[in-house]
Amino acid sequence: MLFLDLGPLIRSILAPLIGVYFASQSIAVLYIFNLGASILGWTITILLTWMCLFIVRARLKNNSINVFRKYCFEKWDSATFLGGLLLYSLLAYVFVKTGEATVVPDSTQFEGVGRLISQGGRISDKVPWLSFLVNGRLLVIGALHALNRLFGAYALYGYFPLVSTWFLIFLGSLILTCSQFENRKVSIALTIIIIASLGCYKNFYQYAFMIHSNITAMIYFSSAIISVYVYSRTNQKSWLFFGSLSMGVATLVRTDMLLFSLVFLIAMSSLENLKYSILKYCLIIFFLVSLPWRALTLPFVPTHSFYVNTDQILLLIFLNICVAILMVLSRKYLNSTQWLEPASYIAYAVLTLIVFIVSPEIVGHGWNLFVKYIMIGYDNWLSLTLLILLLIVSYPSLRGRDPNLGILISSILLFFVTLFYLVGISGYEFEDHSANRMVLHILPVVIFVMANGIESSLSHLAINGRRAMNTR
Amino acid sequence: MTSRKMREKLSIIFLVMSFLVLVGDSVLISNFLTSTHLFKNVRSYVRHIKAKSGMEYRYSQQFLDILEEDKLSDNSATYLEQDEDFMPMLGRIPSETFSRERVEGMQIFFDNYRNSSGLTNPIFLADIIKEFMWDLIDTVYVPFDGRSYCYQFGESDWCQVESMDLFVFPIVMNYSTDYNSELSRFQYVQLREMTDISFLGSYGTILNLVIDEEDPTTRIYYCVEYNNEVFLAKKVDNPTD
Repeated sequence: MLFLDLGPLIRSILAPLIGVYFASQSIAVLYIFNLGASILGWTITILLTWMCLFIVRARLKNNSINVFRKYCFEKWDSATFLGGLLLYSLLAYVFVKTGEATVVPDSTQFEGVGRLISQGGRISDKVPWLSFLVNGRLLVIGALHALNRLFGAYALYGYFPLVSTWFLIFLGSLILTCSQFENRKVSIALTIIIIASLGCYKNFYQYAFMIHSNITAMIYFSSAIISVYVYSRTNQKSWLFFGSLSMGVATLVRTDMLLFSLVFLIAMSSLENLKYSILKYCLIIFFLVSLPWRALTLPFVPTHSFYVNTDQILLLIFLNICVAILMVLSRKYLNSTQWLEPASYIAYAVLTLIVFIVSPEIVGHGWNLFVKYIMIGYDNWLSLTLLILLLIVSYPSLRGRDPNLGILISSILLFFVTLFYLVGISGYEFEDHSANRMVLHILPVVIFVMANGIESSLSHLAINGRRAMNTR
Repeated sequence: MTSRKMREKLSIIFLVMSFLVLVGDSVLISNFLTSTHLFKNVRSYVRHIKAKSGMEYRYSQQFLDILEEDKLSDNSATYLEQDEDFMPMLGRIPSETFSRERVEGMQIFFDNYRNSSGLTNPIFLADIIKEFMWDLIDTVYVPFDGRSYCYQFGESDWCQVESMDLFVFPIVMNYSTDYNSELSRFQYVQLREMTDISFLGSYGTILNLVIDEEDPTTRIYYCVEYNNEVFLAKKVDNPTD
């Protein structure tokens, strides 16, 4: 029913990523409305959600019978969908049987909140760290743990490598969608090599098996950013709708994503000729997915918590709404939103100047902790730092061939500057810092730029070679 | 024109280099590389440069102490890990209650979490309470006052003990230091004989359940310890005996 202007193959690849959201959101709805999670309640919630979606779409199209026929028959390719389902099931079976998982202390909290909900826990039950669990652990991973237990399984570990592998397939399909290579076979081979390299990259591999929220946040956040770029290449509006949905889900997975959603909004604003109606729907989707949960759980968030406080959440929501309003007004009255991207750089430069004068230790913290230690000092992100530097050096040449690549490059830069300030303000010097794990969230975007660059460069070389041959 | 071609060639070289960096840091190659002498020499040289330029990550002494404690606990657990007798023993639990898949699931859960952190023993105990004593217990007394993040119990760290609430819900966890949680030798022997199920927890701690189905009037259980063994049992009389 969703994203009908995309092909059946890409829609069947997207299906599990959307399914994860609807499945976990339904559990969260039951919990927050004090209903208690059960298989029956979950099924009814899912069905009601789909029925609402169907009615809304049918109302928008003004012809419910035609819409029904279109969704159920015309846009449905059985072979592709069944093939996707079969592959997904096969992968799930393999990962469940291998039983591999990496656990960290935080894993016990995801596991715990899942068990609490599956054993009848409701929002009215006063359990320890309720605000912490509701804000950082329940959606999406905790809810999936609960669902897993409700269906009689013991522990959720197969989901992480499964969804990571599926994401690699999705990323590969996006690279192929944007590939400029004329020779399809070479392009497919190159994409497989690059995707396999990402899958084997030590940080991706490690987090793909980790019972935590990082890999899921990475999947939804990077999908959102890359979708904006894919839209700029294909002009299929569904990519922007999916990107908005994906970014909304990312904010549910991790609260810090409410900060990085600004990067997504800026990426979207940098699009040329972004239609007002598309922008409006994108913002509606994003806020419909991300805001209700925050609004409903706000009463449970304390003012002085070690994790996240009411004022921080309210500030982040306020910032998102401000940027969204700016986008809408700018599109409506100035006919363009593209000034927001340079404006964000100026805002960061001014912020740096002010912070440097008023509170220089914040910049010092950011520099010492994030740049010197996390990106360079730790051994695990050293190669990514080197990789990004190499990409930045080769970017001027790439930009000549594909100006839209600037969307991704500026998103990467904005992500790192935002993370720099997050680290600078939060402190935690000389201890393990969650920013070390948060670097992972942008990794696929970096690899996507690299893959795109390699493919476009080789394609360019091939064309030039052919021209030279013809001239001779 | 020539400079443009040169720039493009350089761009391709940088892109290929970036791809090689990605490949070089893969689990397959880095595992192989890290075992070679050449890599170790290069790594120590790079670390030396980082240390000299002030770019080496410096943990606080407190954080390093925690890491060191974890390492020591890891070592203490190895002798038990090799002993197959300490795999889950289902004892008197009726076989129809537990399918093979359920036991396998439990095994994977324990294997994945075992010795991963100080948070695992509390959740292991809570997990087996939920699995084996779900309908026999109302309240579990545990000897923690809730003021510290970690406690020494069963010769290992028990951290973030409040997680047990989530795992056993709706069974109530009562955090209380009003009872003596340390067993005498005599009591230990007595409880050991009555033990129905034993599990190997983390860092060498053994978790024992003493299930009393004969007296349904009391549904309160206590968590007690003797050396590296932790028992969940109904109140033992005269615990200081």
